[in-house]
Amino acid sequence: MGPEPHPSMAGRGNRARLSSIEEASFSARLMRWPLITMIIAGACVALPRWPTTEQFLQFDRAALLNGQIWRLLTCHLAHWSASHEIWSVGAFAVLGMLGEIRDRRAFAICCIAAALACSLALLLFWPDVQLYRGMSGVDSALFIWLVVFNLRPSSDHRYSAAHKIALVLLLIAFIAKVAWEGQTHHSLFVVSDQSSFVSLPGVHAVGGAVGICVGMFRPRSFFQLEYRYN
Amino acid sequence: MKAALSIALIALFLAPHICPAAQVVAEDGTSFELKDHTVNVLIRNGIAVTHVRQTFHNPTNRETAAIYTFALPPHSTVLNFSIFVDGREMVGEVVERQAAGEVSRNEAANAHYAAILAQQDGRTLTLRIASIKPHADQRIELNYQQEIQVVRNEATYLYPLADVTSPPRPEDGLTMTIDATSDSPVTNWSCPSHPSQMHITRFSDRYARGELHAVGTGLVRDVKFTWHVAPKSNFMHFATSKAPSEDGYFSLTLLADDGLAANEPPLDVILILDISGSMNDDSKLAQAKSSLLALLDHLPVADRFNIIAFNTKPIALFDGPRSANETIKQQARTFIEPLRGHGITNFRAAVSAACSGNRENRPAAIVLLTDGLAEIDDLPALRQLIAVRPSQTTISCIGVGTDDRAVLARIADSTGGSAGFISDSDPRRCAEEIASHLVAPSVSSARISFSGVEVSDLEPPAPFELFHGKPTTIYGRYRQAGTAQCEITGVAGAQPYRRTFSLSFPDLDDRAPEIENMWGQRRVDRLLNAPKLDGPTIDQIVRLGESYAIASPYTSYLVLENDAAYARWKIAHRNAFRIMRQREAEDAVESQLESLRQQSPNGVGGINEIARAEDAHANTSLKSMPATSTPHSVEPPAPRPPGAGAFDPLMGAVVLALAAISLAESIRARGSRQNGS
Repeated sequence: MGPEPHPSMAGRGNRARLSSIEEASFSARLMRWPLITMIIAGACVALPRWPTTEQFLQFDRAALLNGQIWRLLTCHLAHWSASHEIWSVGAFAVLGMLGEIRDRRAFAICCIAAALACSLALLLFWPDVQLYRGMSGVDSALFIWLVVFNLRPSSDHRYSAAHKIALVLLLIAFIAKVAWEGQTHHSLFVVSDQSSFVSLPGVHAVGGAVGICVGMFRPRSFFQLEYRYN
Repeated sequence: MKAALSIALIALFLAPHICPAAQVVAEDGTSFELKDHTVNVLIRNGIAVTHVRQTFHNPTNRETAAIYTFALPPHSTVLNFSIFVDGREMVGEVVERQAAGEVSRNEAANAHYAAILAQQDGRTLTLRIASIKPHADQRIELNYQQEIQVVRNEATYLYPLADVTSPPRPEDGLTMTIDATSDSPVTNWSCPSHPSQMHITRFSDRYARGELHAVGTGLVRDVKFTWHVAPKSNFMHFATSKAPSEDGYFSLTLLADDGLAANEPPLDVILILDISGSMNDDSKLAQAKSSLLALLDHLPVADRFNIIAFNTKPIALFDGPRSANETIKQQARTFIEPLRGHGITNFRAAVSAACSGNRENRPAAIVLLTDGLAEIDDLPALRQLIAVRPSQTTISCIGVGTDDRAVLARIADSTGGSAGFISDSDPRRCAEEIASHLVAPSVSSARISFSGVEVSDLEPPAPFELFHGKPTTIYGRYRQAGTAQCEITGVAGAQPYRRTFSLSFPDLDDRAPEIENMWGQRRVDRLLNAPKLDGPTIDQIVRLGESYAIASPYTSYLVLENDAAYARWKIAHRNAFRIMRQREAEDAVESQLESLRQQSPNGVGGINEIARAEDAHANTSLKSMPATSTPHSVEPPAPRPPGAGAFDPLMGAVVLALAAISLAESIRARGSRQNGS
């Protein structure tokens, strides 16, 4: 439903103008939806229907070195198993909705930067990893980005102490998990199904570093943007 | 170098001149020199994991192809096969057999290193190496695991050496270390095969180490390591393996209660002797007769027996089983002596006759003495016959100079019997071992149920049998951690049998990952023995083989040059990942055993069980003993399996918490704004 037209615009001569205003209003409302998140998550969910496509998108060191550089970005869309996908894409959907409706540009920058950074880190620093799939590097970047935004001082809003403490606890939980996995080379709760893969917590660390960078160098805070939409 | 070492296609079936043996031979039949033969064995949870390291040397002045063969002992499965290329360990991965052949051919055609290790219909492994340079060395490592056989509380570990027709003699002999642990107290450790060469040190009543340096004639006898266990009443051992968020696996080893020993019923023993024409070759019939007479000698009077000689058709000594008293035994000896070999082999008729005798509901043990299954096309029909045999009937096999040992071993495995193979010198000893395995079940038609924990995929499914002094091991999977009430029901004699006990299934256990492979191997064996091997069954075997690294007639180990080659063919490093887990678990056990050895370097109670001066090599055996075992290679680590960033329930909860916090703060901010305005 669009807004009620102003009485002054109810005349026959203003119908065309009214129509264009309604369209603009509809576009504005549409733009408030997390479209990028929905498209990416939808693509991830749809991809397993075509397994060969996933092989075409995954991080494949040999193929990358042969020039198939799209894999740097697309490897994050493919997954090894249903449970792997559910958790990674589910987390992305939640984080994407939180981030995109507040700052689409920063969200997009964070996604692309994290995807590239994780893939390049795999290529350069983990030479024994031949194949890689998964969204969790991007998830980690979005998570840290949102936490940093929430913790940054804001001129428009005074955050409660409980809010800050809760965010710090979440941050500690994330860092502790990544550190534990990195130290023990085991994963907490990883569901690998029939596909034996090894978790790479280093990718989470790289994603987290990207999140910090985007959060620190993007001066607008979480709630400033929310107020703009409200 | 790579091109020179390129390994091509495996011989899917044994070349006629190759015998099942641990050796590398050139295509022209020349045996390669064996420079190093080191074996390390770790026995725990009723499972022995054997690491075999062999380095072969091409003694010729020409680059030549070679074929590696290794005969696994019964009840064993390959855990890993590695080849060393330029000093680097390349771990094999199991893939569907035809696909493996295609990959291998393609890689070899492009001068890349590739090899396939195929397991014949059972236990013989073969690998064809296309090219080994003149005077070059080729190092091979093989890991396999086997269930420890326990009969009348006597546990036996066997390392096969005796069946080598042209044994390669390592210059420095065989160096072997056995670390044997037991869940129950052990009263006697011994090495009957190499009593003077095996040095056994007991470090506790549940742990001993045997160290062997065999040379000369010691290299043509199987290494047999035995110990006597004091069993618990109704439950011998329970072990688990569980990775986080994955199904767990368990092995439950059960014994019949001591009180049921009196219920052990007498057996009907049906001895089937192959007298086809092929038995005339190489004195096979004479050896089989010798074994048969030894079996007769060991039959207790309480048992009944019959003898069926067969070629085209079966000829029975009696019309039904007769008491095994001395008069009847003498009639049997008279029946056996004039038998001569002629005609062809008709197994189905013989097995059918053995199964159809007058049984009076007594448990039966069929013992088949043969030189092999000439009519391989009859296998499905034979499987069908075995599948519908009467209940409480086991089939044991004694192979005489046979190339079909794998088939015979599988028949024995699938029916609860045992298999033995006669080498040139020991027909009576082989028969005596089989005779010791002829035990009637104390509890039959047994079933097991669990409450409190979701348990599934039991192997064997049910029903099974419990023996006195001979453990029955059940493998299965479980969903979640918890304490389960376990109930076993069955029939002991004519009375119903029921036992209950509780078991604790942990949420995480990485101490014995080999249980997972053993479960997979049991399931594959059962499927292979199915009366009908149709498409879905074969697909299931392939899936299990790939998931649990099990070589079978439908899956093979594939070894490629490097990680990029695996990635090129989209082959996941599942086995490499599994091997990492396995080695971590073994390292943990090894460090525990090392601390035990440090506590009492000379063993407890000064026991140093070595027999002396029985063998000409005794004096030299200890001089070259290694101070400690060398359980693992120091080569670069195995390649990583495919990588993934893994978000999990914990991170999911963290993300949801972040969303909740953001929402709460948003609501609070909106409220404060409205209040402010």
